[in-house]
Amino acid sequence: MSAPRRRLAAVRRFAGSRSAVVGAVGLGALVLVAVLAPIVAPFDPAAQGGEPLLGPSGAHLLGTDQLGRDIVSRMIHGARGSLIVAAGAALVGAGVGVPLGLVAGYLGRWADTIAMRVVDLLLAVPGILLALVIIAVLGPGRVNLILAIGIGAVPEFARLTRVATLEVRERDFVLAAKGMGASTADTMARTVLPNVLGPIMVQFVITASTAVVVEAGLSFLGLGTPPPAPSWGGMLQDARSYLYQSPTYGLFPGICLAATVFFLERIGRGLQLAVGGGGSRAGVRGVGRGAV
Amino acid sequence: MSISPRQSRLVSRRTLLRTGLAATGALAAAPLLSACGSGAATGGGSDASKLTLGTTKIMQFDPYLTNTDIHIHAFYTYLVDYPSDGTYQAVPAGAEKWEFAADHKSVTLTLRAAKYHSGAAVSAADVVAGIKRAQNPDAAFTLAQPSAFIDSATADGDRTVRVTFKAPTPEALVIDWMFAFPLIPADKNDPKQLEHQPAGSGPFRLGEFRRNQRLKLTKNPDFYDAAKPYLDEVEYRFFTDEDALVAALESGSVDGAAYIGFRHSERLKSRFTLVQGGGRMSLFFMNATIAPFDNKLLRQALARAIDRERIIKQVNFGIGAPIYTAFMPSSPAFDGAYLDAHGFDLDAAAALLEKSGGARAATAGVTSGSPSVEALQIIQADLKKIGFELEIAPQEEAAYLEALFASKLQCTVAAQPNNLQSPSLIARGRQMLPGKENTTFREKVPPAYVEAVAAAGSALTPQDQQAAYAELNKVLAEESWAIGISTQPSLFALDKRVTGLDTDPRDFVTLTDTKA
Repeated sequence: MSAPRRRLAAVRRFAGSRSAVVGAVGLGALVLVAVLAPIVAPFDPAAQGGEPLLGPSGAHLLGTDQLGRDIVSRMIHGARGSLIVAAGAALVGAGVGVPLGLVAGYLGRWADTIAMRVVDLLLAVPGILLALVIIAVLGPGRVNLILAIGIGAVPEFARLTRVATLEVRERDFVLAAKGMGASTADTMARTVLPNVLGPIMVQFVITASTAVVVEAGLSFLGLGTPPPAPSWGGMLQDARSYLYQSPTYGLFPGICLAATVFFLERIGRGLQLAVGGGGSRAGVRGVGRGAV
Repeated sequence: MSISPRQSRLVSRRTLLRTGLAATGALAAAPLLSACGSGAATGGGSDASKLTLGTTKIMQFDPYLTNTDIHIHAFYTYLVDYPSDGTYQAVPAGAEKWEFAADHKSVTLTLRAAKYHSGAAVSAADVVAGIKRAQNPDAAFTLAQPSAFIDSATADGDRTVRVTFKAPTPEALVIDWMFAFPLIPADKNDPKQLEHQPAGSGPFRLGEFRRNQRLKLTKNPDFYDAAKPYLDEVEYRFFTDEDALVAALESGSVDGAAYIGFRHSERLKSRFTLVQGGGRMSLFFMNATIAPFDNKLLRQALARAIDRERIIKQVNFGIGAPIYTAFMPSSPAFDGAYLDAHGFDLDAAAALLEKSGGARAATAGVTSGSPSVEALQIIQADLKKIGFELEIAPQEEAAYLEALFASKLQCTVAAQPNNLQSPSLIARGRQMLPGKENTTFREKVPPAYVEAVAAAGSALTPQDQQAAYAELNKVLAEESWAIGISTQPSLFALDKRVTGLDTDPRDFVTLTDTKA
């Protein structure tokens, strides 16, 4: 089957999965709201004018927080932050991990040994601990959060790409490319990489979903985006102090977090199905953190 | 009688039903019965003479090296006590009387006949040895500043000590020192020994200590007040998480929760007795050693942009009182007029900001997750209205403290104790010291401040004292590096059966009059 046909079949398989479509639509809506945040948010998320800890009302749909800020507006702008960090962390992880895995898998021998030992070193440290250390050294902030979570995701991308590359590099079309005089870099970039992209895409979505949770966790610990920038994890942390006065305060950021992870997970599953049915057979299972 | 297989099955079902109901009943009744009985026997030690308090604080036993530990007062007798009503009327404790020389250059103390927990008698030589240690800031940071006025001490017999001062010293400062000075046997007055084993003559002895688990105190039968303490045993249980501590209180596992956050007050106030201790003060510190706060006018501008009422209402849950110049309302130097004359006024702040010509941005360091983050957000929003961008950089606590003490933070909101009688003891905190150790000025401590502290510590007559305190307030307002926000009382939630638990002016818990 030709590459375009394979891609079309994968898209059809993805579209045929109802849960994947639900995920895609849900995430699409979230992205849209995040992009249009300044337009759709009814108030400035940092404006402290309102009465504190108001319950849901016509003026403030989900009420106000402890400093009188509109919770809806903070959640909408918080979505922006969460999604930027999720996408950024996945890009950093893929940006470093994929080339590393590609080189390790394609060149083998010493390159493979060195690359995999570096990956093992990163795998030896739990992801959240690694993120905490990086934040402690670099300080809080959105860019540092992306780096902290993204670096933790490098091993998964590297191992996944290496496994997929090991399978693809002995295929006829790769040998043919080499036989036609293509350079090593050219073969890796133009021949091998496009054929291992499927599982990498799945891993990208899984990493983004993990990043949303880790970002919320770090924000919950007060090490995420500095105030007054809103973040769902930070809102949950704040709401914890006011459960008695405003029980609904923490409910909405929690629902948003759970929904985003659900949407991403559904998309990941859909992609896994789509990719697993054609393309590379290298799955995403068993190559991530904790795999032997 | 024979039983058909069908009957047998019916009997079997009935038996099964009965057995099931009995088992269910027993399972349901067990916790109920247990709960009924636990009120008196277990579940938090509600025995007539036992009290169980939960705390999140880590402890050690050296009173020369702590400002905050909850249990210290239980182990030691101090020369005098202050009553818990906020006044500074000294009550004899370790010293049964004291007599000032007419020239205010010495005091003669007569010690009460008392015994340490070891059985040894309290002696004048112990006080002399203790004063020597107190004068070494490295060995006694808590006591070094209150003892700085002392020149020497000599024992005159077993129970009399003559303490000589470097210069005529006001009685208030001497009494503050006596209040902070614990009696410890000379041969055990060593940081290494006291770190693990208290050696005092206070109302309670050390029963058992398991770090990060529990601390048990048992009644000292040789305490100088034979009728006290009322409790036979006090147990402190450690909780790493404040919410777990409050949950333990609500479930009855402990009789009281110590030093809890204000956020719990609303939830607990109807079911528990809330006790507020003296606590500390919350201040906005600006570091004058680095830009942009090396600009005095800029500091003055920001000092006018602190909305104390809103911070007390929204961050402190209505607990605490507004302050301006780093004096608690109980201090003789507290001057409420500053809150009116220098209070929250964004127009005045904007005018001063314009006049200062300084930078329009700064970064505030703060411990992540602390209430100071919210106080800073309120200040941040107000400063934004006058064109000043305050960035908030939350940090992990250890990193924050390291940066704070190394003078690396531009500004911050932090708590300070300043709750003794003599206003000169304002110069105890690291941001308030009158020398180069001051973390907000280093070598550039304003001479006027040094002079004002010295004057407050040497004014003898009431008129001179009033003038000295007024001058100290004036310098603090003029230099504007430590701007008072509010008092931060310590908060205890106690089972309604617990009475008589207080804190002294240093915020140490006093259990001598406690009943449970």
